[in-house]
Amino acid sequence: MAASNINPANAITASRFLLLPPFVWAVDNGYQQYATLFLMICGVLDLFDGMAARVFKCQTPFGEMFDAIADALCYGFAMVVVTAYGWVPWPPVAIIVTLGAVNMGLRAIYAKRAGRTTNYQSHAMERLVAYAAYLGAFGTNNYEPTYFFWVFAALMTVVMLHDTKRMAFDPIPGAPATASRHAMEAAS
Amino acid sequence: MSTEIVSATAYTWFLSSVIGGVAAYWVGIDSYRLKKALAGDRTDPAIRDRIFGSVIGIIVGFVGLGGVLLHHVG
Repeated sequence: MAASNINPANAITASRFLLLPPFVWAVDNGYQQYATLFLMICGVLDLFDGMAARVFKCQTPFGEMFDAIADALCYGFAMVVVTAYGWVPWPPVAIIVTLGAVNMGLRAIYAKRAGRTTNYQSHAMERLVAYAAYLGAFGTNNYEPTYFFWVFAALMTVVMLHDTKRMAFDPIPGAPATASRHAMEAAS
Repeated sequence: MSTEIVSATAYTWFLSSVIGGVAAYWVGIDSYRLKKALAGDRTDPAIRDRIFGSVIGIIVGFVGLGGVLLHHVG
């Protein structure tokens, strides 16, 4: 029987959004350490949702996708908030957020080409998401934000160039023939 | 309510320890993963993705270590 999408792992993933209002409150009041603490809890919950999915045997394609979306929203939101308060330089954040939006769009195209709900696996992007989890902490603590944000923007550009080719053009393992045919028809 | 949890100095060193520790771990684990991936079939797109991911992971690790050094020495 297929696992339901209402399960402990997805509940943990969803609970990460609850940390965003206290994060904004901490930044708004200049409580740097509390802001970092909320981001760290968000990161720890990110570790636990995958663990819960394995323990409760409730791994679903939706769960994988939901986790990726939660990562993008939580870390992207944190970056935008610290930028809005002038704690980090805005140009690299603009590049990062734009590339993040393009990445989500390409993931949707990849799922459409695959003909099923699927999360595009990129080992390089997984490393960058882990790095992104730290960016908020760098920003909230004035911990070399210019260096860390600009390097991240450069690395994300490289990884996006690599992943765009795979998501939009390369053959998809296990894709149904009809989906591939539709993709080819759409492209022509 | 106190505006901070611990002193600024203690907090900076806590952050440096976490960032430096995780960065060093990334360099180590991704070097190991890269070595394993390089031994595989490099014509397989999944293996090529692992190789690229590990190289990025190693770079990210060194960036983290560089940031810690920059913060304390630079």
